[in-house]
Formats: sequence, structure tokens, C-alpha cells
Amino acid sequence: MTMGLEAAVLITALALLLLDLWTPPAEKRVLSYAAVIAVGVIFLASFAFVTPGPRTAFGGMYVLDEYALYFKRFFLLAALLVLLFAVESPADRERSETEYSALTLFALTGMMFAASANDFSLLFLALELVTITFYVLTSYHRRQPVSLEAGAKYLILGALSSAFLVYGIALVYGASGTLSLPRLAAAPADVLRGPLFETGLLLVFAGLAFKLAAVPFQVWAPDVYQGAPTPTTAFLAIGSKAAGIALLVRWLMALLPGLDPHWQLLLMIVAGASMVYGVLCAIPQRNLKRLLAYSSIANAGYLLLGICTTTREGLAAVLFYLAGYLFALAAAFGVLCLVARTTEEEEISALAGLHRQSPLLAATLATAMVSLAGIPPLAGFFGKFLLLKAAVSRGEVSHGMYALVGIAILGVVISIYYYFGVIRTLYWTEPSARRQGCRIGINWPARVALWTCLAGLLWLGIFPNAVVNLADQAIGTLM
Amino acid sequence: MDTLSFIVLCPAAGAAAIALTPRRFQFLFRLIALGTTLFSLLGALALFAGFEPGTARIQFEEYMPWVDSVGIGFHLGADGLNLGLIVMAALVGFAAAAASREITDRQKEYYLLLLVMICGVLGTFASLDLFFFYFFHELALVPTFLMMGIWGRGERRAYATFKITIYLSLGALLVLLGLIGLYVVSDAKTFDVVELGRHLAAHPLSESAQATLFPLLLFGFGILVSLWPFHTWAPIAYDTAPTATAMLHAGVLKKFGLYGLLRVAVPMLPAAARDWIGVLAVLCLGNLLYCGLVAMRQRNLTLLLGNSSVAHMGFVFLGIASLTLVGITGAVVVMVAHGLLAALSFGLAGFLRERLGTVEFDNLGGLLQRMPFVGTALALALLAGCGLPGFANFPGEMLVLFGAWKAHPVVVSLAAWAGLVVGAVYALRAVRRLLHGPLPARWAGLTDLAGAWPKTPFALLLAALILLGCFPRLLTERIQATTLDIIHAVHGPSLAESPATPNNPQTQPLQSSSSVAPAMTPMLLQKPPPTDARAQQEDS
Amino acid sequence: MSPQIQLVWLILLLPLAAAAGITLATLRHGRLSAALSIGAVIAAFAASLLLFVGHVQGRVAVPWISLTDGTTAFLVDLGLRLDPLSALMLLVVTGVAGVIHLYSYGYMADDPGMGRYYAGLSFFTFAMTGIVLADNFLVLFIFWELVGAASYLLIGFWHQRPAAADAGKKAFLVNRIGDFGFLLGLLLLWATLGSLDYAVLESKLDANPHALGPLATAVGLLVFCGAVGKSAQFPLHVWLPDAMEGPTPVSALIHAATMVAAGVYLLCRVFFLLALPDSQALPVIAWTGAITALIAALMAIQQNDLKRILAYSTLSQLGYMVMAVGLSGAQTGPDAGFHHLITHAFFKALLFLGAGSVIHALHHEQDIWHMGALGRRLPLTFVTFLAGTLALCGLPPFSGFFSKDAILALAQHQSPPLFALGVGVAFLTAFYMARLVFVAFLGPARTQQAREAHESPLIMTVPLALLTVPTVLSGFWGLGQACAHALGPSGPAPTGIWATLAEPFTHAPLAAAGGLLAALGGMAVAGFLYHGQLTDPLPSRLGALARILANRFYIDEFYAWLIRVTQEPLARCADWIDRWIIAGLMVRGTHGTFEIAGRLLRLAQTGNLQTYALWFAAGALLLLAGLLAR
Repeated sequence: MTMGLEAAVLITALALLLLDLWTPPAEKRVLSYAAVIAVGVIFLASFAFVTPGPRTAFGGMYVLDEYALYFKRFFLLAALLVLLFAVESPADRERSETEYSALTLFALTGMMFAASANDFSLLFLALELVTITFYVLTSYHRRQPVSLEAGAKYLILGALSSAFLVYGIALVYGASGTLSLPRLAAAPADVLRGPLFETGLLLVFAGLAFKLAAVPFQVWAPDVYQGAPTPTTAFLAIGSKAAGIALLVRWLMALLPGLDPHWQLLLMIVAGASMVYGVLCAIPQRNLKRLLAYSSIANAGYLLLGICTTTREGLAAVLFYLAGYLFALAAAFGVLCLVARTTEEEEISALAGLHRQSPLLAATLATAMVSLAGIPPLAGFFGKFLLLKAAVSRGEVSHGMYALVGIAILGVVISIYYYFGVIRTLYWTEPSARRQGCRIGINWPARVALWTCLAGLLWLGIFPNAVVNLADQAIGTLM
Repeated sequence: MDTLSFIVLCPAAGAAAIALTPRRFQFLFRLIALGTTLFSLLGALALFAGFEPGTARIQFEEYMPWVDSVGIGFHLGADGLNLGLIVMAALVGFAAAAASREITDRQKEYYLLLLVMICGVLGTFASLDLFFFYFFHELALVPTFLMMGIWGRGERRAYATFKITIYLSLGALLVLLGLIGLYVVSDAKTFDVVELGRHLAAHPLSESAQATLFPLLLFGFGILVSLWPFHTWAPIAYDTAPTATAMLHAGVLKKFGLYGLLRVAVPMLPAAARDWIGVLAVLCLGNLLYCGLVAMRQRNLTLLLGNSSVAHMGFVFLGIASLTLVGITGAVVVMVAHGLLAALSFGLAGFLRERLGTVEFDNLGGLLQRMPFVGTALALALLAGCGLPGFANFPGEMLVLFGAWKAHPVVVSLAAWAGLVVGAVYALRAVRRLLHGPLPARWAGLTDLAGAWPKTPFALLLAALILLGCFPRLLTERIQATTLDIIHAVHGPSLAESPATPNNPQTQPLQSSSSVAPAMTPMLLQKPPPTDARAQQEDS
Repeated sequence: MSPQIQLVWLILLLPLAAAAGITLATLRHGRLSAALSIGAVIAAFAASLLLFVGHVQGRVAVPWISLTDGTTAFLVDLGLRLDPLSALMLLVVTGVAGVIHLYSYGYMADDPGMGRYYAGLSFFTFAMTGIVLADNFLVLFIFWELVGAASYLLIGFWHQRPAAADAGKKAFLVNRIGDFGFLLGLLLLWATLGSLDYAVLESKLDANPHALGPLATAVGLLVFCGAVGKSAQFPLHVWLPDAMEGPTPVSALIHAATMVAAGVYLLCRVFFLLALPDSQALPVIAWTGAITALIAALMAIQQNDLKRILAYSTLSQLGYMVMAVGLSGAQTGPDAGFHHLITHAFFKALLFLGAGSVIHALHHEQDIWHMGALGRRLPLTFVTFLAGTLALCGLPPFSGFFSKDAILALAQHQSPPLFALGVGVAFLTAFYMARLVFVAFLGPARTQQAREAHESPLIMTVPLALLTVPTVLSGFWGLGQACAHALGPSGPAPTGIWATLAEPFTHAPLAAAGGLLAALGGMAVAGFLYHGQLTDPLPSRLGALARILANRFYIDEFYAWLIRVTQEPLARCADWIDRWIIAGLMVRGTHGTFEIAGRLLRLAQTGNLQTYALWFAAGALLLLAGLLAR
């Protein structure tokens, strides 16, 4: 029962594939609805999992604690929203949506395992499961060269990062003779401080940083985000990033609690660089998906900022921030894929005057942008607020933090510039003559998803208490 | 629900109602907006009536824990510092809603945003928790941006909109940083203004910590109030913004920065405040004198008003820089007065612009012949702007000048010149170019505001200005106890206990909130002793 | 303190109520508004008469602002003070105002803006009584500003006329410059003595005359700045002639009788402050007054506009008053100046109303060279105007003689050069007034209008008659005594009319004789030059000098130039910096920098897989190096 959630998801996925064989094309859509409902149910069920203490499986490789649960719920929710948007998206006709849902669920399984990975080998397995599924999902639109190119890039670079990862793991094993985090944590200091071991850790970090799309492992993000089918991009941006974070935080806390200054400096540099790079490159962007790609690079920076603090409040802030990020990105990509269905474009200019065509879509996208910009009363603000608070309070110990906070503040200001640029297009650029008056239909699953995102953004922004406590407990289990 | 939360949440409720009302009930939106703002206005008046003067105690207090792990609570309360501002904000909010007749396009969005903005404006002044204090201010900023963008005027709309957004966000984030820093360094584990203040009074921060935090707050708040040289966003923003937005922002929201300085920066970082007032005093000349001169060059009413409203901020900065009871009390009075004044003048300017399509001086003149009401109101507003007695600005500016004289005589002289002469020059120039002189033929068919209802918002604001101008005690006796606390926080209470100087034996020390407050009320109400002394002389 | 004292509230607030009522309700009904306003001012006059006769004195006050911490107090009461000085002034102000209110009813009868006019008039009356009654500097300053506003509104009453609108603006701004100095004075005073209350200050300075120390002179002069602005003393005199653009009754009330005299009243009111032992203010004041008197008189002799001539004579008489105050010392109160203030109020109001009647009769013709022989057409106007003229020239037994003589006597006694100057001005005064009479009222009628002029209606002529009475009588009716009494201890009063008439000659024969001869001489010369002339002979005789006088010494031009070279460039430069340096260079510059940085960084995104892989590996190695390099 320990791995009940993963099992449930996996079974659903397999069931979908099987059922797909016997269902006539006409009814296939029912299956994707089934997938949505299943994930929804599992998500709700996940709240029944109240663990008195951490439970383990696979001889300690797998651990189920508050921290893991927090992320599992996170991934489930992300998948749920993505599927809701993906349902009935005419991806391309000669491939069934069922496959798409199934693949998404496989990726989800990988992520959920990642949340529980208490051992480098499981870490690797989980990540590979995620990555490989995404190879397929990214190049899902076979007919579109962009999609294929994206897939190829992701495949190759992903393979490269996996190589780093596995090599790093090997070095770690070589240096310490074990892969399980608890045992490594217990290992004598001279082992943990040995160059071999640290090189290993660094390579693992590189592998994870690739998932986070943090500088200098960010180059793939813009092209892949742009090329992949929009729901996929959403899942990639949310899920795979969060998976990276989940793993990173877990092993950092296990192996380098306190984070000796050298590592911290390294993390801080990566964080700062990501913020600067993401923010600056986003300024001239005209394509919304690329824009969001760069903003996700910048956000990786903010998340790492929280991680560098290595304080309980800092890491809790990271978890909360992710929650807000989930809703904002889901909303943004959701709107985008709905718009793209009618307008076949993903340029920001394609959104001109969206407000006249569909107030709901415009409002949702605007809300998402405001939240990403970190302005009350939305989730993004409270997340940034917590992060900054944690960073500042850490500053007394390591003054570099102040510099990082400065960069973050500047980054926020600049980001407001381009996020509000999107809002401007939505509300007071007149639509091109071609699309004057053409309305954009929204089917009910998408509608549900949109309202969920809006509600989530507002709820986290105005009544953050519940989630803050949840995140705090989750981190508590690692301390 | 208590008075304050009622005042703050009325507009929010209205916004929700509008959000849920289907578009086809167009007529409802305006009604809802007017109704809810009117309710908060009535609430605010009740607040003013129920406020017990002469004590620095926080009244109408409400508290609700919010995020306890971080130390955030939903804490509302009124004292001398924000009472006037809340009432003023409610009044301006109602006036702004009433003055929005010009809006016909996308009314739903418009009134929704307007109400959100008003809610934010009211909340930011009512909050006694640094988090919500900031939260509400930002909450009001987004509508500002959207309204400027969607319903704004002029070809520089996009530029102006982005300029104000970036500027204000920068300022706000600096403030946020400062506030977080305050929270962290003070180690009080709370954002509650009252507790934080008490904690900091007990264990003041180290000089160095204050020296790093104060500039953050000073310039952060400063940018938000268009402190020179961070002021260039203001004029073109108000030139662009739709009437109601300009009224609300120039009138009320802008005061957030000044309020923050008085509520947070000065009392909580006293040592740094003492070091920085010199700088502030010099910068305030940038507003008063420099922006006054710039205003003289303007050929467009809204730009002129924008610059003059930037200039007026200088008086408040000067009052703060005086760090005296008289000066700071004056500063608070000016804040309230200018709020009403700015709302009035931008409201009228917006009406003219909407009615005439232009407010360029070169195209206009002699409007008084066709528009007696609007013309007179505008003339009065401009005269009030150059500190004519009888309007609320006068007592405020006088108090500021008198209060700051000892600390910065030179600055005060220049400020007096700016206020009395430069201010009069551009005000009268505007009157002359717009209202006086022959009426160009093309405006022959012009008509004035007709009927009582459209005149109401302007009449209300004007009345408030005159009322407070004639009876400034309505404000001062409510403000002064709180101001005294700030002074004590800065100079230490020793000042109050010290024996009265030979100069004016009649003055007596005044209790502050720390000691029993009620004892002070009669002392304030009784006729000041010199009166009686004089009476005897007269009789003999 | 008698209960009647509460009447002063009535006196102050009735006109205000009238103004408010008119503005809010009856603005469109001219005659109703007029009735309201007239009623209010008459009532106020009655009340002040009651108080004056009853010798009621005392103070009423409501606290306006009271702030105090331990060390400094800012206590300002809205206090009204009734003492002999203010009682007398109050009587004069309300009296003259009342007469002029009546007169306006005829003068403005067919003006559509009558309601607005009377609202302004009432508002002015309110502000002026406020100045008279104020018992501390800040309250005074408040009403000081308010009369300024009132005069702004009334000068610009015909605001559609550019000239009128500009004149109003000019008046307000010039006054503001004076008030700036005034305000600084108040700041100094409060900072050093901790109060703004006349009584408190007086008692403090009595207790310790050196309380102000070296600041005494500065304070005195700064306060005087206020008077310079209001009473249009050199160098701030330029606004008064332009103010003649307003309706004539306004000129009579505000710019001749009352408001412009407020400066002098202020000086008398706070004389204790000017006469401090270590203050050098008085001589400066005296000379300012003298210079004003002289240049104004000189300008007057080459003006051709009926009202402007009177305006310059007003300037010059104000100069007399200020000089008188400056010449008085601590032991001799400034009663001479105050005396002249009152008599001047009567006869100058009379003259202006007379001029108004003429202008009314000639359908707004103001150039005296388009008049002539009006004496026959407008007999009553002529007689009264003549009385005013003789009073102004200072011929006995007209009131002007006594007050002017008092000043000359003082000058002779205090400083010979100023005495000579005073006599000279007396001569000039007589000259230009006689010129005016000879050209406008006697001699041949020069235009058709002049031939067809008709006497004005009763509502206008009766006020003339009313003002003639004090103009003629107040001299030997013990007004001088009243003033002396108003300003402290007064000497023995001569009893009986003849004694009063003879008193000047017995008391200071030289002064009296000098003044009298100067006046007669001036008239004689004027008569010789102008009797029966069709055009002005002087320009041809004086040449350039006449032109300079006619152009008022080019002072306005000089000021215009001064503003052009100082304030305008400053404003331009500020505006330029704002546009280009701050908004342009800094703001747009920063924005551009980020934009460019973004575009450059994007070059990293080549889209080429190999480069990406390279970045990736390089990055990893870099980090590794960084980690292991310890």
C-alpha cells in the first residue's frame, strides 16, 4: 500500500493502452475523459494518505513521507490540469489521444517515484522514466518539423545529461560504496569531502540542473518549449522542473545539510546566472512559449535562491512557490493551447484583442501573468515574498545572499515589464482584421481547468496559510 | 464586521458582485460601484465621528491571525495618522466612481477594476500589519495599470503606462525589501506594526542596520511619492490616466509612500531618520521649487496639474524632514488636503478633457463664460493649490513651514517662495489661459455641467477642502497625539518631560499614548492660557 | 468685558454670509443679491457704530490650531480684538464700504454679472474687517491673503477682457511677493518669541525690549514687506495703476480707500514691533514712503486716464502715510499716518466715485482729453469732486489739510530732507489734481459725448454727497484726537472749532504754511498751464522728461525684462532637464541598456545542437573547476 498512488497511476496508464485496442475510434475520446477522472480520483485519494511516519519500500530505496506526498499531490494536480487541457485537442488526427494520455501518465509515474527516491539508483530510474516519456511527448506532432526538431534536441541533450547523471552516480558509489541517501548521510566526513565524491555529486547536480533548466544547462529549454505540443510544454515546465527540485532538495538535505560555503557559493552563482539570463533574454521575446521558457529559466533561479538558504523556511518557501508556479503556468499554457486551436499561432501578437474574443481566456492569462510577475493578491506574490524573506534572513550568515536578493528584485522589476507587455496585448492592442469577431470556443474540461487555475492562484495568494503549513511540514520531515 | 473592515471590504464585495453580474445588465455596474463606495464613505464618516481625539491609542482595532508561522495578521486600526487619510480615501473613492460617467466601453471591467483599486487604497491605510499594508497597495496598482492602458488617453499612453508601472514596482519592491529587512533584523517575528514598534522601542536596531534599512525605505517610498528626481513618471501618467484613476492615484494611493515614511521608516528607524532628514530636506526642494518651475512651462492643464501635485509632495517631505510636532502634523494635514485637492483638480481636468477633447492652453480660453460651475470650481482648486487660506492646504503648509523653520531655515525660505510665488504664477497662468480672456469661436456652443447629480462629486470635494481649511482642528487635534508619539520615538520622550522654555511659559507637556491618554483631552480643549492673560490686560 | 463684544462676530460674518448666500443661491438674480449684500454691510456698519459709540473693547476668540509638545507651542486662536484703533478703522471700513455698496447698485445696474459682483464685494468686506479685527499675525495673514484674492476676483471682474484678467493676475502676484517677505517675518518672529499673538508679543517686548536682539530690524522690515505689497509702495507699486481695470466702485473701495490702506494699518497695528530700541526699520520705512510719494506724484502729472491719475495720487498719498509712520518714534505714536489714512479713505473714495459718475455719464470714456466742461453738465458730481480735490490738495478747512499738515509737522520735526520732499509732493499733488479739474470739468468740451453727458442717478449721487460730509468736516471734528487716542496717550485737545482750525498754525506754523503755499502754488501753475487748453502743453515743453514720466520711469518694462532674464530661463532649464536628462537620458537609457543586453544574450540561443551540447559540457566543467579549485 506504500506505493499505492504510483501503482494506481501506472495501472490506469496500462489499462488505457489496452482498452484503446478495442475501443472504436469514435469512442476513443471517452478514454481520455476516463484518464482525467482517474487522475482526479487518485489526487483526492492522495489526501487519505496521512502517514504517521515515513514508510519505506524496496529496502529503503523508496520512502513515503510528507515531503514525498506533497510532491506527489503536486504532480497529480499538474497532470490533471494538463490532461484537462489536452482532452479533445486535435493534436494530430491519425494518432489517438489515448496514447497521449497514457504517456502523460507514465511521465507522471516517473515524477511520483522521483518524489520518493531515497536512493541514487531510484533517482536515476525515475528521471529516466520521465525523460524518455517526454522524448515521445515532445515530438508528438510528427508532421510538424518544429515538434520533431524539439524532440531531437531534447533527446540528445537529455541523453547527455543522463550520461552526466549516471557517471556522477557511479563516482559517488565508487567513493562511498553505497547509493542510499541515509547511509551516505551516515558515511564518515572524509568520504563526503573527498574530491571524487564531490565530483560525483556535482555531475548529479548537473543532471538535475538540466531538468530545472538552470544556467548553464538551460539552452535546450526555449527551443523545446516552443516546439513541443503546448500541453506537453506545460507538463515539462511544471512537472519535470518540480521533479528536479524534489530530488535536489532531498539529497542536498541528506548529504550536505548546512551546505558548506563552497557548495552554497556554487548554487548561488547558478541561481543568480539563471535569473539574469532568463529575465534579460525574455525582454525581446515575441513568442509566448519562448517567453515562458525564459521565464521558467528565471524561475529556476528563484527556486535555487530558496534552496541556497538551506533553512527550513527557505525550502518551505520553495515548495510553496512551486505550487503557485503550477497554477500560473498551467493557466498560461492552457490559454495558449486553446487560442492556438483557432488561430494556429503562438506569437504574442496572436493574442491581440483576445479580450474581445473571450474575456475568460484573457482574464485567466492576465491573472497568470500578474501572478508570475509576483504581484498581490496572487500566489506568485506570496511565493516571492516567502523566498525573499528567507533569503534576507539568511543574509546575516552569508552576505552573498544580499547580492542575490538584489538581483532577484531587479529581475522581478524587469519581468514585470514583459509580463505586462502580454497583458497589454490582451487588452488594448486591437486584433488583426482577420480575427475580428471570431470567437474562441472553450469545452467544459478546459473551462474547469481554467477556473481551477484562477481559484488556485487567488486562494494561494489570499489564504496561503494552509499550503504554507503543508510545505512546512513536508520540509520538516527532511530536517 | 466592524467599521474598518466594513469600509475596506465594501468595495471588494462590490467588485465580486460585478464579477458575477452578467454583461447584459450594463446599468447595474455603475449602480453597484456607486452604492458600495457610498457605503464605505458613510462608514468612514462614522469612523471620523466615533474617533476619540486627543489620544494616540489605536481605535476601531480589529485583529485576525492570517499566516501565524510567518507572523502575519489581518490587523486594522485607526489613529491620528491614518484616520484623515481613510476618510479622505473613502470620499475620493466615491467621487471617483461618480465622476466615471465618461466611461461607456467595457463598463464591467472598468467598475470591477475601479472597486478593486478603491479597496486596495482603503486597505493600505487601514492596515496595521506591514504585510497587508504592502499587499493592499500593490492590489491597487494592477488596476491602475490596466485602467490607464485600456481607458487611458493620448498617444503616449503605452509609454506612460509602462513608465508608471516600472517605477512604482521598483519603488514597491525596494519598500518590500526594506520591510522584510526590518522584520528579519528586528527579530520580532511579526509584521504587526504595533508589536514591531513596541519591540523596536524596547530594543532599537543597531546604527548600522538602521543606516542600511532607512535608505531602502526612504527611496522606495520616495519613488512611490515621486520624490525628486524619481518624479518624471507622475505628470505624464496623470495626463494619460482616465479621470477616476488619476483622482485615486494622485489623490490617495500616492500618499502610501508618505504614510509609510511616517508609519514605519521614521519611528522605527529613528537614528537613521535623524541622519537622513538633511538629505530629504534638500530633495524636497527638488519637488517644490524645481517641479514648480517645470509646471510653469506647461502648456497643458493636466501636465501642469501633474507637476504641481508633484511639487506639493515637497511640503509633506519638508514636514517629515522637520521631525517636529508642528511640522509632521502639518505634513499629515497636507496629505489629506492634497488628496482632496488632487482629486478635485484632476476630476475637473478630466471632465474638461472629455467635454472639449483637449486641455491645451493654446486652443482654449474664456471658458468661465460658458462653464460657470466647472470654471469656478477649477479656479478655486488652483487657488487652493497655491495655498490660499480657507482651503485645507493652507493650514497644512503653514504648519509645515513653521515646524521646519528651526531645522532648515534656508530650505523653508525657498519653499515659501515656491509655495507663495511660483505656485501662484502657474496657478494664475492656468486660470488666465483657460478660464479668462475671450472665448474662441469654436467653443461658443459649449455647455456646463448640468443638474445637481453630476456636480455632486466636485461639490463634495470642494466642501471638504473648505471645511478642513476653516476648521483645521478637526484634523490637528486628532493627529497630534499620534505625531507626538512619533516625535518621542525619534527624539526620545525626554523632550516632552523637559521644562517649558522661557519663550512660552504657557505650554505644558502633553501626554502620549504611553501614558494615560484621556487626561490630555481636556487640556487640548481648554482655551490656551495666553487668552485669559490677554483678557485681563484688555479689561484693565 | 461687555457682552456687546460678541457683535464683532456679527460684523465679521454677516458679509461672509451674504457672499456665501449669493454664490450658492441668488447668483442669477442681480438685484436680490445686491439687496443681500447691501443689507449685510449696512448692518455691519450699524454694529460697528454701536461698538464705537459704546467704547466697547475686548477680545473674542475660538481656538484655530493648538499644537504643543514640551518645548514649542503653535497656538493660534481665531481671535478678534476690538480696541480704539480697530474700532475706528472698522467704522471707516464698513462706512465707506456701505456707501460704495449703495453706489454700485446704480453703477452696475445693467451688468449681467451683478450677482457675482456683489458676492465679490461682500467677500472683500468680510476679509477687510478680518484684517482690521485680527488679533494675531497668522489670522491677519489669512485675511491678508483673502483680501488679495478678493481684489483679484474684482479687478478681473470683466474677465473676458484680457487687460482686466492680466491686471488681476499681476496684482495677485505682486502682492504674493510682498507676502513672501511678510511670511518670513512671521516665521522669524515665532521662532524667536514663540508666539504670533499681538498681545503676547507686546507684553514680551515690553518686558524685554531686546528680546529680538539683532533680528529686530530684519523682523521689522520683513513685516513691512507685507505692507509694501498691499499698500503698493515702491518697488512693488506697479500693480495698483493696472488694477484700475476693475469696475470703478471697486477701485474706490479696494484700491483707494480700504485695502491699500491695510498696509499702513498693519504698520500702525504692530508699531511696537517697528519702534524697538535696536531696530533700524523705521528710517527705511520713512524713505520708502517718501520715494513712493515722490515718483507716484511725478508719474501722475503726465497721465491722461482719469482713473489712473487718481490711482497714482493714491500711491503718492499712501507714500505719505508710510513716511509718516516711518517718521513717528516710540514716544509719538504713528497717529499722523493713521489720521491721513482715514481722511484719505473718505476723499479718495469720493474722488473715485465722482470719476465713476463721470465715466458712467460718458459711457466708459476715461481719457480726460475727451472731456471738458463737465462742471456744467454734472453739477453735483463736480461740486463733490471739487471738495475731494481740495481735501486731497490739503486746503483748509478740508480734512486733508489737517492730516497732511500733521505729517508735514512731524517731518519738519524729525528730518528736514523728508520735510522738503513732503512739501514738494504737496505741490505736485495740487498740480496734477488741478490739471485734472481744469481739463475735465472746466475748459471747453472736447467731444460730443462730453457735451451730451447727463448727471448720474440719485443712487449714485447720494453716496457722493454722503462722502462729502466727512471729507469736509472730519478735519476739525476731532478726528486727529480720535486717532491719537487710538494709538496711545493723546495730548490736550483744543476746544472749539476755531481753536481746532487754528491749531496747526500755532502748533507748527512752518509746516502748515509750507503745505498751504505748496498747494496753492501747484494749483496756480496748473491753472496757468491748462486753463482752456485742448491738448497737453507739457510734453512739448518738457520733452524727453515728459515721456519718461508718461511711461512711469519704464519700471514695468524693467520688471518684465527682469522676469524674462531670470525666472523664464530657470523654468526653461528645469523643464529641459526634466525632459531630456531625467526622463530621457536616465530612464530611457536604463531601459535601452536592458533591452540591448537581452538581445545580445539571445545570441547564445543559436538553435544549433552542437553549440548547445558544447555549452552544456563547458558549463559542467566550469562548475567542476569552481568546486574543486579550493
